[in-house]
Amino acid sequence: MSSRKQPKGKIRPPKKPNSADAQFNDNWDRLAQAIREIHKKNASILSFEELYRNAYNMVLHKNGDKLYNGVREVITQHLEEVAVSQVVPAFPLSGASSSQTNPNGAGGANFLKVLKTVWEDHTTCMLMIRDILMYMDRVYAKTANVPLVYDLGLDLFRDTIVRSQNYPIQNHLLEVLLQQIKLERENEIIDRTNVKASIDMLLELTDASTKDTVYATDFENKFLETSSEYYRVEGQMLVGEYDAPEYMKKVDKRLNEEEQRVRHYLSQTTEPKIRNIVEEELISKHLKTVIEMENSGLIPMLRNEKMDDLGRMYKLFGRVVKGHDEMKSAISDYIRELGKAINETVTSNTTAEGGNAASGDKQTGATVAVRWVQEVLDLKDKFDKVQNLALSNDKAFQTSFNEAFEYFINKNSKSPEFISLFIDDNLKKGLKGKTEEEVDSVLDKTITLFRFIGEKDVFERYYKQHLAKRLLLGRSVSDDAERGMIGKLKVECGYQFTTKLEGMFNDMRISSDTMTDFKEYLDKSVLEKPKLDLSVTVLTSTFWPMNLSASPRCNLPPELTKACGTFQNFYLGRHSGRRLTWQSNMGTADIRGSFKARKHELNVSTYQMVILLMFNDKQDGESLSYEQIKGESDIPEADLKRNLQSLACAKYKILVKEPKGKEINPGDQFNFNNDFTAPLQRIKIQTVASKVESEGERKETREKVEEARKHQTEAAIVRIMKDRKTMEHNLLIAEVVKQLQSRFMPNPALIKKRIEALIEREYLERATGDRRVYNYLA
Amino acid sequence: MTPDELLNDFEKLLSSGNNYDVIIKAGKNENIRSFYTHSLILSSRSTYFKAALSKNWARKKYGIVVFNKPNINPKIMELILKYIYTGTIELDKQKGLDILKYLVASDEICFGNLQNYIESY
Repeated sequence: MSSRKQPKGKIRPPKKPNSADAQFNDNWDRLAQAIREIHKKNASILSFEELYRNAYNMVLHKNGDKLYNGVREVITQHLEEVAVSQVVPAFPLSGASSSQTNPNGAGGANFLKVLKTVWEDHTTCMLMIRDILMYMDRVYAKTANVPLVYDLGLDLFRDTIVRSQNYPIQNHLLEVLLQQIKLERENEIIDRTNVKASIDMLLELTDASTKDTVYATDFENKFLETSSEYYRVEGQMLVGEYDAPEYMKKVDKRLNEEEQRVRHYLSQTTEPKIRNIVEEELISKHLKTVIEMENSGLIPMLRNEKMDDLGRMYKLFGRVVKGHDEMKSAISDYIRELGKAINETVTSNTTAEGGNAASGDKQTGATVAVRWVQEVLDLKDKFDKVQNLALSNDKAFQTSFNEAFEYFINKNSKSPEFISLFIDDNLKKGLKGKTEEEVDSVLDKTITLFRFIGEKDVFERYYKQHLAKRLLLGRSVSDDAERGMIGKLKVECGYQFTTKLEGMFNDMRISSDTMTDFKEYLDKSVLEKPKLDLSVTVLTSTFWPMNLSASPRCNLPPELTKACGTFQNFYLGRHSGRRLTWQSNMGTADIRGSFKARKHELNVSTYQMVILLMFNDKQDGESLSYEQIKGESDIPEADLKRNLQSLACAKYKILVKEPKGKEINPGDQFNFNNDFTAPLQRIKIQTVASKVESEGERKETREKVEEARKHQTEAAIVRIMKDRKTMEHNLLIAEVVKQLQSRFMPNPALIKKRIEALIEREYLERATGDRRVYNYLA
Repeated sequence: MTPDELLNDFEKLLSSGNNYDVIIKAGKNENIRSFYTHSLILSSRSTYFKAALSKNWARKKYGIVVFNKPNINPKIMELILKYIYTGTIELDKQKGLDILKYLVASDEICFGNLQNYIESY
């Protein structure tokens, strides 16, 4: 071997140029030949040790640059040959640009296959070349600041093959790749390995100026552009052809496919970009169209409770900026619309009722209320379900739904009354055979509606009225249930809200104790015992909703008057300084009536008792006129009519009216119905049930509420000013609103009026110098 | 087990040549010496041998690679192999000229660490 003498040469002074050149040429020829053999896949005849030593010697003798350039030339030459002999002949016949004439892309696939082989050959060869030029890489490339030989190989491949100046390889490659992807988008099966090989190749090559991959500089933008165009067209086609659920399935599928495509043969860096394009073209651009699709859009999905489709829409639309906002507002509008419809059935119902109000079907009003609440609850249930099953309990959606409910619930000015009536309906004894748990869960739901009410003080007023009736008529299902409900209200509104309600309960309890004591007192006393059992409930006038300051007119029978007197003496003897007024309009009585067939026990109101007792003095068949009854009993006219109606026109006809009819009119004659029969021995004459208020009553309630608000507003102002001493007008208004809004929304004009009233009464004064500032006067 | 034990064991592995799969023939003419070595160890310790013993370049006969290294003197090769197997070298026992030869040889076969070590010496 010629190289055998080398070791000695290394440490001697440099040889004569001639000899060094000869040595170089000899070394280089061997190496160039070897690289060619490697390219020909003939490496098995080569010796690593020798070739390595040749390169080593060349570098050692300062011929590194010559070696490096020589290698560059040999590789370039080889790649030029490859381009001509392998790549160019594999160009798709018809040209990749006219892919239509080559529909299955076979030519393109073959081109990619050839490129794959060329690339694999190149990298294999470069690895071997790198092995034998390891010393050059380490010693020469570093000091000369040139790429390592493997990277040199990549650059040469990039410039000679991929971006060849001589042949349109780049165009073909990009178009074939895009065509293959297009084919796959159109459900053709393509050979992903070939595509992946080319993509990987582009990823391994670096663009010299941008230092980015050739994939990024040459391919990615083109890919994104064509995808954008592709999905723009597809989006328009799909919205025209499919209904909303199908459309979303298609979009879902596309998103999935693109994600898979990236994972299988593109770069991960492309994933967010292509996702954005599909989202933009297929979702953002068609948001409203899909939401508003007739018979299949968002509203039909809600109507038919298509939870899967809704869930899909939620997920898909959540990918784009406006998606959820559009959905939210569409659903909220729909809720408002449905709510409006519910409100309308009620108003149409009540006006209808108003038309024949005199018919006095007392159930109708309450039924309307109960149905309204039930429909609202059903609606709430429905959207809770949607929220739960399709919207992942998204808080933003919940808020917007709540606003919609709040909106239409407060559009119905009767909602506080209705909700209270609904609760009343559920807390009344023996209704509908619901278990306590069922009632409890209904009430829990009702509380959610209660939350939406803006005028909680109005609700409170109605609730007190209804509760009062339940308590006094003994119609509560149970104390526990009542207290449970009050507990729920307390949680919502705090202790202040429920003090009076609790006070009502206390009155009931204390009264029952008082009655026990009263009985004992009677037993021990020497007084003549009353001829009837008297049961008295003593109500603290401030807790109860009725006006308890005066006794309504009514001439009670003497026995009763006497018994009342006995109780009054007993009670006032124990509690001096109190005043009792008798509320005959709220009492009930058990009386025994003898009819032809049998005796019945009748449970009637105090007024009805008064009326019936009048007939005791009459002969059979002797009648009393309306005017007679009215004069003798002195019962207020409206109450009298209602009670006569219950006795003569309702289910149990204890009295017979002449002329017959549903209405009570002046001049009517009444007879005791001796022929009355009924299967039960004990009969309850239906007392006036809770019902929706008439317009007059409503006005009265309204006035009471307004009055109460004045007081509450003044109290709030004084409370705040006492604390702050001095305050600016707007800040004071804001603070008052803050304190009161849990009960009602005070309007600034009202607050202003109250401030003026307080100034007049010298609780406040305007600051001297600044009229917008108030001072508190102690 | 102490590090010393490990070194001893690896040194024994080199001197005994147990389970060798590479024969390195260093030197030329009458001054040739065969070292019975292990491709696993050579490859994992030296990029030069890693390339030389890779499937592209290794020429195996009956599962054994014979690797001729004519331009490295057997004595130097012994030192190099010792360093490959044990990571140690006893430079103070060597004469100056040998150290230079050693430096040159280790430069050729890209043994960077060893080179730094000797240069600092």
